[in-house]
Amino acid sequence: MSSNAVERQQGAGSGSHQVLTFVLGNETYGVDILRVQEIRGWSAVTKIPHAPAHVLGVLNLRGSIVPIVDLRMRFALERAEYTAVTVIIVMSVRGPSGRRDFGVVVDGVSDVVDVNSAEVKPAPELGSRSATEYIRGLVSVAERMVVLLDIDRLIGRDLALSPGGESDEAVAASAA
Amino acid sequence: MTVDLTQFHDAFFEESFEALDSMEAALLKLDIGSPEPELINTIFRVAHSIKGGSATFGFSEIASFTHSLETLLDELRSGTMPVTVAVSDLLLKSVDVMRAMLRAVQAKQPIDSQRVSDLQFDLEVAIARKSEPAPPPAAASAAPAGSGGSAAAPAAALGHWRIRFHPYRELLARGNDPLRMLRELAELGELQVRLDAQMLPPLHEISPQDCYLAWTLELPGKVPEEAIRQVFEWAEGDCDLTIERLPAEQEAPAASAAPEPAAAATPPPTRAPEPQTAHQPSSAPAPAPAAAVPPASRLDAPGKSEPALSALGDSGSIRVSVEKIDELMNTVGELVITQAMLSQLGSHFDGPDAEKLRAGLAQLERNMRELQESVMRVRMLPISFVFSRFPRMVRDLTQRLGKQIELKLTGEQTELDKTVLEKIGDPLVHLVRNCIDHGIEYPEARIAAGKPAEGTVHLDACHRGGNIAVEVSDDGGGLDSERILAKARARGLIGPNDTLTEAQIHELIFQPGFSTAEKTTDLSGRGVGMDVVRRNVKELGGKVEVRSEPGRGSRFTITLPLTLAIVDGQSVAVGTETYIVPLISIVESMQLKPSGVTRLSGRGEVLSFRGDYLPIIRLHELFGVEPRSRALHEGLVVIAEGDGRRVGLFVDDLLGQQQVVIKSLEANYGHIDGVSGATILGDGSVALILDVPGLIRAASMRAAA
Amino acid sequence: MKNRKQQTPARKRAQKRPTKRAPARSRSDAAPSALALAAECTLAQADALQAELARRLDEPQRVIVDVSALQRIDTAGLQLLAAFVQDRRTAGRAVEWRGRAAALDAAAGLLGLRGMLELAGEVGQ
Repeated sequence: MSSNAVERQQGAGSGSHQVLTFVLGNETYGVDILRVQEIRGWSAVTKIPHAPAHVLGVLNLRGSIVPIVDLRMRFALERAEYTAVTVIIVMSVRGPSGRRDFGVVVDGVSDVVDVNSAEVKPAPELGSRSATEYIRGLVSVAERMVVLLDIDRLIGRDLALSPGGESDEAVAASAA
Repeated sequence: MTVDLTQFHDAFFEESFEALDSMEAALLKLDIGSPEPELINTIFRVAHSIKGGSATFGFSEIASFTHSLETLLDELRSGTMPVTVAVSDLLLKSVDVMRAMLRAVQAKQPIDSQRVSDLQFDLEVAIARKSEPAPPPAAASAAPAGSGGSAAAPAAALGHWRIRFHPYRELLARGNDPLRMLRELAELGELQVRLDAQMLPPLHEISPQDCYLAWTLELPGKVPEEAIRQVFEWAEGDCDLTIERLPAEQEAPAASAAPEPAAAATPPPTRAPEPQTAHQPSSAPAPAPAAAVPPASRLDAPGKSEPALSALGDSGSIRVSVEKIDELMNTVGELVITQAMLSQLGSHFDGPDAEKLRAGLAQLERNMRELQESVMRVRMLPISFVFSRFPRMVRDLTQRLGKQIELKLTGEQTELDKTVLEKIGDPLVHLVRNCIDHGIEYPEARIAAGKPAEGTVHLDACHRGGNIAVEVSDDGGGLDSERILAKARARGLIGPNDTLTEAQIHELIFQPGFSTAEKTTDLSGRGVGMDVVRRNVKELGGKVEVRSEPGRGSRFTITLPLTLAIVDGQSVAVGTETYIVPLISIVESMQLKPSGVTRLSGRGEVLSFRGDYLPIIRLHELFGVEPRSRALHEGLVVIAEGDGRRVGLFVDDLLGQQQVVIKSLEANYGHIDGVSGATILGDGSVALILDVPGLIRAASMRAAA
Repeated sequence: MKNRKQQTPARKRAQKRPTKRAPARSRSDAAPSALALAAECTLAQADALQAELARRLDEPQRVIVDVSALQRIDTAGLQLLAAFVQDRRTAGRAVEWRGRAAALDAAAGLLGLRGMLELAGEVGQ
């Protein structure tokens, strides 16, 4: 993890911040480095009854019980096999009840890049309200388009779902 | 300019509240007819200590009030005022007022001055009205140390006490003053003082609020050790204190070598490296100072015929913050998991050293268990802390209602985890109120029923099979099954034609909104009580049950695990998943014969168990897991109970029984019905801990759907 | 157990060294220096008392401590006085007590400090 992480400043349009990019299918996504706790390889999770399909289960993360989300399923992409290079990014989310940790399964991590807030463009209207809710914006990095995710919104709502709650997956699927 | 004492306020408040509790307990124990001097002394000490502490911290209203209180108590103590019920009530009210004042100051809110001055007025009136002056207090207690008493041993055929009092630096800043303590000691008898000022630095280097002095004191042996300890109780944790009894025979030869009485010259302190000029300003006979230091070893001579001096226990305790203990518990919990992982790994090894490794790991496991138990015990406190509020409550309630009730407390030394202790109070209060309000009949009714006019409410606590059992029982009228049935029918809780066993009828009282009180008193008749009790107890991982006999009484039993952080569980396998079922919920496990299962319409699969039909819960269905087999007789059934209901949980296998550390699922994920938490198994994987009452609810909801 | 102490923030504050020696002496050599103790010499006034005592620590003349106004004293106050007297004595200098204070006599007696303080004679209680 970046050692300068401490000096980062966030906030709309004020300087730059660092972003961890990762790959899912053909897309590259990015999350604020400050939220990333660690990156680990795939290991088997314990299933949770009645969880939405994209919540795979929970994992023991140094003594804490952490839920693991499959982002591909979350975004209604094709499921992929979990291989030796499949990676879990452990992040923290800020919710109404404080900080929660969780992990997302991604195909692989890429670089940590500096993103200048001024260069972030808003996400285009996709016709599905839910999608833009969790996209902070788009930015071009080394000729690639990185989709910046708003982790709080993306995951935060999922984590306290009671059995049978509607997930964005269904909504996204219907809107896609 | 002045020392910042605010950081020590918390300790003062804590200690004051505790002291008030003991004052209240003493007041309630006081036999008005023949009041025990010890109890009065205890009460006096409390007022005295709170007065001193509040003066130090500048809480003048509290200091002023306790000063009046102390004056009245002094009269009681010296016999110049008789102890009457009126005085006892006044004192109990004082406890309330002091509590209120302390709370107000603690919360930085204004004190209810009117209430305080009203009561203070009553105190003054009582003091003024005391009966004719009694003879002056006993001479012995009045002799301060400076009376020039000779070094000759006083009438102490019992020898005397040697007290080594070594304050820590911060003793003064925490509101304690050795001067005060020595003054109190001097009131107990002929006190002899030897100062140790070795640690006193030159003036420039002194930190004025630190204490650099220490003392070795001697007091005649007829003073009870407890009295001495009480003098120092507010300094507990701020000093090293040793109290030892010196046998009498050794005193005579020591007379000449004994430490001088306080008034005479003390030997020059040995604090500085420079030789001190022996300075004897006083003309009083001073035994040779040099010889005055008796070798310490003689005191610990073997011939100690007295019973262990620490028999009264509690010498040397320290206050520790709860956070530190929680941290310690967490770390130990992690250690337990790590050790389990190692043990499991160890079983995979072969080779010459594998045996040694396994032996070592087994030893480690034993050590861990001991460590875990020790740490758990650190957090455990006797239930007397909770029980102690009941005498007062029962007294007040019975007076208000006009009933006669005796409260019996047993098992007060039973210890439970601090967190459990804090949360068990409210349910117990409700149960006791329930007994007083609904259980025990009015004296006339009791007499008519051939019972003594005075009823009994009995609070008991004991360890039972790895849990704590707390029972509240009464010898009142018992639960009225007819009324309960009628009420339940009226509320639609049961159908008009349902038949229930006696036990099932009694269980109904735990339903929400249930109360059969004819007229609701403001005490417990509101009908929100029993279900809240059950819920609170459940949150503690325990259960509450009731047994009752009409005309004879009722008994409520709360069963609690020893600690919240750990649960004894049975691991079960369902397909590839492992779950933990808390042992406290398990009745029995069995294998079913194909014929043992019936299908009842409207109730699904049931099995017969001890004459009852219990519904079967297929965990694999509930959790969406693929089982090894769906045939009930090819797996096992765990008979579990929760909320007074029993079910059979269908699983593939029973794995081991073990103690597991409870990890929160809700911290990062959320709540799942039927699951109370998670734990980490020996192989590092996560297993869910089941919540049997929740499972039962979830299953019945599915069945209804 | 003693090192528990070191964390108290109150102590972090100036280990005030009233290091200043007595500044330019304006008195004649013969006149003794006097310090009159206030009515209260307890923990709350301890810092001030220490400063006052320190100022007179190196007086070559006799230092007279007048206790006639003293009403309340505690261990903190006595401790400072004891250190003062002993420091003076070590340097071969004198401290005299003027006046009588029952509080001082009683407290010094109770704490066994009469010797260190070099209080004169036996005082009736």
